[in-house]
Amino acid sequence: MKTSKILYCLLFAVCASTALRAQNLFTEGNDYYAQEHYKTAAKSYEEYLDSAHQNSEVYYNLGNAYYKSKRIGLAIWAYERALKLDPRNEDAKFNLEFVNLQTEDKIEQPDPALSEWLKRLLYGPQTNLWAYVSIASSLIFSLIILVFILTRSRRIRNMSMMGGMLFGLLFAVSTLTAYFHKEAVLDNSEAIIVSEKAEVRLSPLDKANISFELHEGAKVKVLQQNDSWTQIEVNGNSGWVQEEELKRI
Amino acid sequence: MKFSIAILFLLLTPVLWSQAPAIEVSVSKTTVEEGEIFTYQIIANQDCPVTAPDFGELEVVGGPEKGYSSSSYTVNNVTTKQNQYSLTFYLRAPKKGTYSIPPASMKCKLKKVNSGDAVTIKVVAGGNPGNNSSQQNTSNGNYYLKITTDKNSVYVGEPFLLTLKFYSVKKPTQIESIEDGNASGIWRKDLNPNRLNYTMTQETIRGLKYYVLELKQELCIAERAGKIIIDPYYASLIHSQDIFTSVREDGTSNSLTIDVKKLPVETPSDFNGLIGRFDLVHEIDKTSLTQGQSFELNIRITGTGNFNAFDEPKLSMPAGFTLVDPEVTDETEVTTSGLRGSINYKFIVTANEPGDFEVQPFGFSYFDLSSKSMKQLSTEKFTVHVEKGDENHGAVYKGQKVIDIENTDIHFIHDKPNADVNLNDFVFGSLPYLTLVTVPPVLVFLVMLLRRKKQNISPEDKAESTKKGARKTAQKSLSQALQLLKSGDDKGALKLLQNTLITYLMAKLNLSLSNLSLKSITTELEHKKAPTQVMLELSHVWKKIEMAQYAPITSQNLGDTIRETQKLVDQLDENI
Repeated sequence: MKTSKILYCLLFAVCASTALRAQNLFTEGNDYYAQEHYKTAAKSYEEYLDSAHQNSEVYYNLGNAYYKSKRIGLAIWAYERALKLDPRNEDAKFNLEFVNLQTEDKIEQPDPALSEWLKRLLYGPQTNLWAYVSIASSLIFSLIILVFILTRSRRIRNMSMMGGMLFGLLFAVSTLTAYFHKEAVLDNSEAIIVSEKAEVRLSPLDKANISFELHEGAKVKVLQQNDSWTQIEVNGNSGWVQEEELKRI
Repeated sequence: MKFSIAILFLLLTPVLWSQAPAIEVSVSKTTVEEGEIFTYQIIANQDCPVTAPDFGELEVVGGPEKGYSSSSYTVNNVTTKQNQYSLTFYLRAPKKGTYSIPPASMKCKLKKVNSGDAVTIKVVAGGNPGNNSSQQNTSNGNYYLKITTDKNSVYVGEPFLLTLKFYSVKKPTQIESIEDGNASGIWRKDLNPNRLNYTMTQETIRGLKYYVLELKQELCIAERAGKIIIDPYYASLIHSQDIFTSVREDGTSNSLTIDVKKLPVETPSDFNGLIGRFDLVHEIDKTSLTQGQSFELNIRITGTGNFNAFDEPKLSMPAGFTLVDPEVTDETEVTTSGLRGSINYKFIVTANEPGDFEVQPFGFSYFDLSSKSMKQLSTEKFTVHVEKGDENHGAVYKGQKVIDIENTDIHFIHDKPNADVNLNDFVFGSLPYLTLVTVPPVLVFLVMLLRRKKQNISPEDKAESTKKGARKTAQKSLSQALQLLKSGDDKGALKLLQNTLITYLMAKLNLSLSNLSLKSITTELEHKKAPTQVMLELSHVWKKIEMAQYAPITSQNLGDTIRETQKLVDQLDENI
């Protein structure tokens, strides 16, 4: 009994110190940023994000620090990450559009108006929200159906029928949304070119002919990985680039 | 050689025998009245391109309408077929005189043919005075449409009236539609756009009595000098021939030409086309105010004339004043003498700077129709005193400006992080999630299955189940009967005893109440091979209960009977 108490206390202490450390790194990064030490600020933010813990605001600040350090590829990547975690981050959206104007390559993007609108409507920074809604609606739906089965009152049956339909629909919508939200957050099929210039080769070999060149900040689709080579597709053209030349969103 | 000539002859025969292209023209009348419509028809025997003549001053009010007819006749077993292609124009002479229509032509297989001599039309004066273009002819002359004006010659901006009337020998009963004729260079307004009642009079014209219906009256104001042509109006009316038959009478009216003159005087720079008779009044609610306050300036123009030409007053305010767009109150109405009424412009002027300011007068010139001279109207000059205001008291209105945003840099960093997202810790898809989401519906489903199973139990199973519980129920009831007996309720105990035995036997032997008798019970027990002793015991108990209903029974005996029944139930349950 005593041992378990000690273990709980230790676990709590570790968690608290981790959270405190993360908060310190964020504040530290902001301080460096305010003092215009952008590279040092970026290091603090990077350290914060090294763990499995991800944070839209930290990515946003990191993007700013990268941009101020003249690393627009990394800045675009960080803003993309911030928006992936929280599509409602207006500042990240603005900064991304602003920095994208400074890239060299014109990348054809499918018209994202509807999907962007849906993402902003449904996906917030709480990645588990829809999963919780799904659980709650499943429980309520089950209870309502139970009432429907057991009751003999016509009025209650009618009401429970309506309620059942409503919560059944909510369950379906929330489950689908939770699924797509998770997929969207974990999806890393897109990447940003972070090197100043990336030579896209016809095959994953150093001696292979260069198919085309991409510049820092270009957004590409990742097709597959082959050792240190990544096959990408952009504007309907595909080729291979060195892994370190891009960063997956 | 002969053969070749024969072949050539055969080939050329259709050509030689085919009709030679011919064209002729005809008119419905060679002498018409002013404004009367007549037809001009070109008839050709072949379907070749026809060139209509230049009708000169004659107005083409309709057409060309294309027509085709064919006829054939046989003479001496030779059948000849004739085709006729026609083009019909509806013409009208605007004024009296003699008009010549040159010949029409047709080009057929590179050959051009003319219709012959020119056609001469003599136009005589019309029978209807008071307009510059006489009546519209119609198909049978029994009805026509006519537009008239009160002025054939006006100044630019001077109002005049157009009146559309329908003349018919038959009394019209319904107006189907009215379509205005086109006219450019005039502003016009229906004097009675929502008219529901139409006045009908009767007039005798050239010996014929006509019903005259005024269909429309418009106020027109010429906007430019020169000839303005008002195209024919169209109207469609109905009259009842008899109670079952309605006849439509439709057609177009005459057209009108209005001579619009320039003003006979020099126009000053502040003249913007106003003609009529006007008056100008201005009002200011205060001339002394504090910085930041506003005053109200009303400019009101009253009178009769072409208000439609009036532009919003351009006020010249001193620097330090802000003027917003005025609130316009238009109280003019369309009358036969022009637009009459007033227009009020309410300006809100805000003083932004302290000091004394002179507001310059506002004025304009107009052409007075009655005196045929220019008149000038002007407001008075006034001074506004503005006291220095408290800057913290009341906002100084300085107008609004569009905020121009220049995005030259990224937005600043955020100082508060939101909740972290652990990518390895998604609730969706985890075991607790799946459990919580699936278990409740599954449980409900199981409940539903169990309930359904219970509901779907067969009558045999139900009877069997009842049979199994019959003994228990009966013993319980009999114990209750004993309790009743102890409490002194002999009657209740007897009734309960009787009911218990009946219920038990019905359940046990599967008998209905109507079939329940000692005989049927005995038969059933024999069928079930119950021991004789049990059957005797049952008969004994049954009779005792029956007797107890008619003869008094002591509590002791009743108690014994209940106990015997208890034993009987046990025996029956064991043996059946």
